[in-house]
Amino acid sequence: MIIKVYRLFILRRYLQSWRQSLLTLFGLALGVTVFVSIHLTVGASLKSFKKTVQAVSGKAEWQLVREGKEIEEDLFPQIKKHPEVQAAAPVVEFSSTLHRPPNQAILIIGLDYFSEREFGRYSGALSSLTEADLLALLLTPRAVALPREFAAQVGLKKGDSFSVLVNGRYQKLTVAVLLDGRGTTQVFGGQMGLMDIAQAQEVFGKRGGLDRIDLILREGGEEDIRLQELKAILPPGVRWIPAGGREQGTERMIRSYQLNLTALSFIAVLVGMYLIYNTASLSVARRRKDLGVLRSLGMLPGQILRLILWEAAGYGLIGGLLGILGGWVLAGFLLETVSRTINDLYAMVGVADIPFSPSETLLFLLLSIAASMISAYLPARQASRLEPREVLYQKTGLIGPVKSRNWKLTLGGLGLLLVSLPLTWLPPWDHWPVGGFASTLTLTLGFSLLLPGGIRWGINRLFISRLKRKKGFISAWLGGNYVNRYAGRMAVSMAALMIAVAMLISIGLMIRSFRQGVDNWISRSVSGDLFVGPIFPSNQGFSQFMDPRVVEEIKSMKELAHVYAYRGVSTDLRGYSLRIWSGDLAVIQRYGGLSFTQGKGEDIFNQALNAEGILVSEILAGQLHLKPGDRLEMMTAGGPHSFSVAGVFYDYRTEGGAVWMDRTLFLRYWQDPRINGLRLYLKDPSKINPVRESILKRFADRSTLVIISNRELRDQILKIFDQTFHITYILEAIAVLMAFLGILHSSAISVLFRERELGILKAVGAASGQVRRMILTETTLMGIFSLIWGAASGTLLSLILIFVINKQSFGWTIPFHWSGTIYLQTLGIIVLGSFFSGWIPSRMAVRKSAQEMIREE
Amino acid sequence: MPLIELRNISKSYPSEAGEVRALQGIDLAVAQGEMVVLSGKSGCGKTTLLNMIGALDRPSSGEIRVDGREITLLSEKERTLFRRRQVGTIFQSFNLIPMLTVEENIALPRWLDGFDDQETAGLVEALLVQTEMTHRRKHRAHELSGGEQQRVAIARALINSPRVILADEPTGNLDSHTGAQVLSILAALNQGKGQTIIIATHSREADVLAHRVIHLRDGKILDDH
Repeated sequence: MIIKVYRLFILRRYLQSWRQSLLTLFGLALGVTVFVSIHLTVGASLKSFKKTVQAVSGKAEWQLVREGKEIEEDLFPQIKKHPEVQAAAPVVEFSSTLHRPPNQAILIIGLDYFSEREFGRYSGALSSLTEADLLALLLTPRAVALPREFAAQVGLKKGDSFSVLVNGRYQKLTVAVLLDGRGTTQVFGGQMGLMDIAQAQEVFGKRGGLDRIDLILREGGEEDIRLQELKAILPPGVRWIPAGGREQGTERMIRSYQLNLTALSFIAVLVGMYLIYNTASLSVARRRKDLGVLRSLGMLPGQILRLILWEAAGYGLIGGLLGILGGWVLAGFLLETVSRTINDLYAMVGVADIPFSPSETLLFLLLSIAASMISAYLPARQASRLEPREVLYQKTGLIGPVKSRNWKLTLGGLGLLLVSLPLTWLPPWDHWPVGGFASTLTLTLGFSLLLPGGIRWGINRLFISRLKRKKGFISAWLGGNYVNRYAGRMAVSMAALMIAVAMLISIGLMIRSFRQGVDNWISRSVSGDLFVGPIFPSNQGFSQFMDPRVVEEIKSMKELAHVYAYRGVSTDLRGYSLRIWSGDLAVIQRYGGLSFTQGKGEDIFNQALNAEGILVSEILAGQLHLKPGDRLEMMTAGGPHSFSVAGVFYDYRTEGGAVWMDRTLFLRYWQDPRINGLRLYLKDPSKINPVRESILKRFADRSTLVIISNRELRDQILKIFDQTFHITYILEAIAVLMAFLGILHSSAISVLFRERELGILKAVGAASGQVRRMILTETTLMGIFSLIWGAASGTLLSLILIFVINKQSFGWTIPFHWSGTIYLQTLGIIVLGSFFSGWIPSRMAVRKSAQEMIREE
Repeated sequence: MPLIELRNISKSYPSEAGEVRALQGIDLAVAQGEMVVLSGKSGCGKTTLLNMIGALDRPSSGEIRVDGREITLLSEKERTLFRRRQVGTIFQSFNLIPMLTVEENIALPRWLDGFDDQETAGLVEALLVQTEMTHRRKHRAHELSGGEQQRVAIARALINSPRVILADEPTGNLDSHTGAQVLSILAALNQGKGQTIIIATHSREADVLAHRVIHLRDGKILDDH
């Protein structure tokens, strides 16, 4: 019948202390909500990205690609006929934007419909095409098949025409077929179209060229040997890669983003766990006598332990269910913010909804229950060790002495702080800053353990001794005394608030430093008065080229001092995403373009200009362990070539590593003269607007150009930067709210817990206002001490975030930028928040009469 | 004029089993300097009557005058000030504040009244001497024996020089020897300083020290002698 005892004690406890139960559930549910929502939103984006890769690859095993240049289409028949090849399919891809709605992204894929059968791509969307559809796609000029949902979204129907931007001009296409089936919605978030490959080559200026050839090899034999045989017929510069191999780098970056957000969201769970610990320990303290009676009646210590753990598991179950529900709702709100950030930084993903996964839901629930039980373990163990004799014969009317273990906690805290330093020296594990995360954990725990001793010392020295029984300060003095006396109990809620404060300050300092770093970097590295191109500089920028005649005419304009014409190529290197930028480095050198991690700029540029040197970004140097003087082998359009690293430059582009080289070097090895865009340096920089208007007017009938000023580009970069951190601010706000909930929770429980004491105070003459002020002093003191601790730990955490976690996760060096404003803002939030957190408990404390409070014990 | 005057006091509580009539038509007058014992079995209404006089509770009907002042008509704030300045209460379970030391517990009502440490120290010292607790002044409540705790409670009740001391089962949690010591302190206060004291108790030890013993049963005064 032990189950009945459990049921009686647990259920009645929930019902009797329903306010406390609700507060605990709400706090835990909020923590689970944050964790679940982050997991669901970033997970949905990652899943969408992987589905895109999967849907595009289909059954393809290998891909033939060439860096920065198309493959000659003559190769395709040779490949298809090769005895080792079971199936081959040529592909042309073009990223662009629609004319209407403006800036609507679209990926158009040119296919040979007849080669596609064996690849089963787009989850069967192609196999559902009828003969009439195929004829329409092949015979209608510039015919496109659009997913039905996407067509409806942009207001198109079968037979309509629409325009897409192609190298500075809008080209008309016709909707010949509407595609059904889930597969099409998985590619590029459904923002895609399919075309016959010959028509795509024609429209997108890729006549005679292919972006890739997808392959399925025949079964049997050693794959390596067969690939070697195939290699023999490949022209220089063409290489094979595993299908979807190029996307590995992007996936790695999205995973890194997910890891960092998950770590951040875990703080909310941690705060929730603190609430459970608090509830469990106060529940044990309040029921000492009941538990003593149970023990005296023959309940075993293990049964007492399980009683408390099951009670916590109940919170975990209900809080988990509520949190999962809340997580779904919050994920719906966060989805747009998260996918916009991923689109801006990594790759286009289109996530329309959050997929439901029963196994994931069950996992969240189990995690919530496990987290609650872990949080309650220590109080449960303490309860199981109660001696019935001690408890039952405890002196009437007195709460037992609070055992002081300050010195042990302080020693433990100092030990953890000491350990946190060497942890930061650990190298990353597969680019995951394991040491950095471990260091933040030990640092946070260390500060938490130092809290009780610190509170006692601080409140005694700075508060109680100064206020000691001064006229008019009795309420404050009593409040201070209470916090001092019960520092051990209060410390848990204060630690939760301390963590939230540390999070506010460390992330605030990190973002401030990062933003300042990016701003300085833009000033130093993004030179040029005007930026000209067919499309706004973005992820799709490299597939669009400028008309060479337009480039030459702009170059000859007399208002310009210099023109920097650049070409970018997206590729991958040893599993990392990479962008190669080429242009006239002499212009960059002249206008102070790049800032190097070491060496003299002049020497580095000389080597890059005269000795086939390349400049690599700090991120790439970190990923591939490169330093000046090393050699880096890259696949060029003419085959592999080893380049000398002339210098390593600071770079805050988030899409991975970058290599810069002079245009002459690029032309030598890639033999591709096309230009993506121009940077214009004006003789008179004050004439930005007249020059911009003159260019737009001059080429209005020949080319669609986007021209933005340095200031506009800078603003756009910083806008994307700020958008990236929107989600961080949301998470921070929730963590702070939860921490205040912790203070409210702790204070409310302490009011319930010492109801008798408050009754005595009132009985001996304390006015309601005095009791209220005492409670408000307590919560404000709790807030202030959490703030002091949080500020100290947050400052140290910001150093770990900046110099360890960011460096190891993304490869950036961010100069630390201290800001007093963050501390002042946090001070305001915490003092006001803690004061108001005490409001409800202070009302609770005076609700009952003294006589009721004393009698009810 | 009596210091304390109760006229037709009744008190009822609602309960699941119907209305509980804790006090029924109590008329009582206590003169300045009297020591009165309220006796009777558990549940007869002694504590309720003390709570009425100490302004911890309000009667359902009737009047209570203390020093000529009708206390049932006082606002909550005035009742608090009345408790703080006019009444000293001693409880069966001592009701000391665990986080405070002995001297802090004693000084508390005076600090609540706005006096600072300097203005309170002399009085605390005198009460520590009077209750023989000087050697325990820095101890906290849980470090004291039951008798010591009750002596501290008496000292606390006296700090604001109240007109009346109310003691609710002051010996209920003490052994007979310690209980006798506590009663003798109360008797000495009454005899030495003319302090008005009302003691609620179900034991008979206090009867010999009291001027009057009022016997209660079922919320009514059975006899007053």
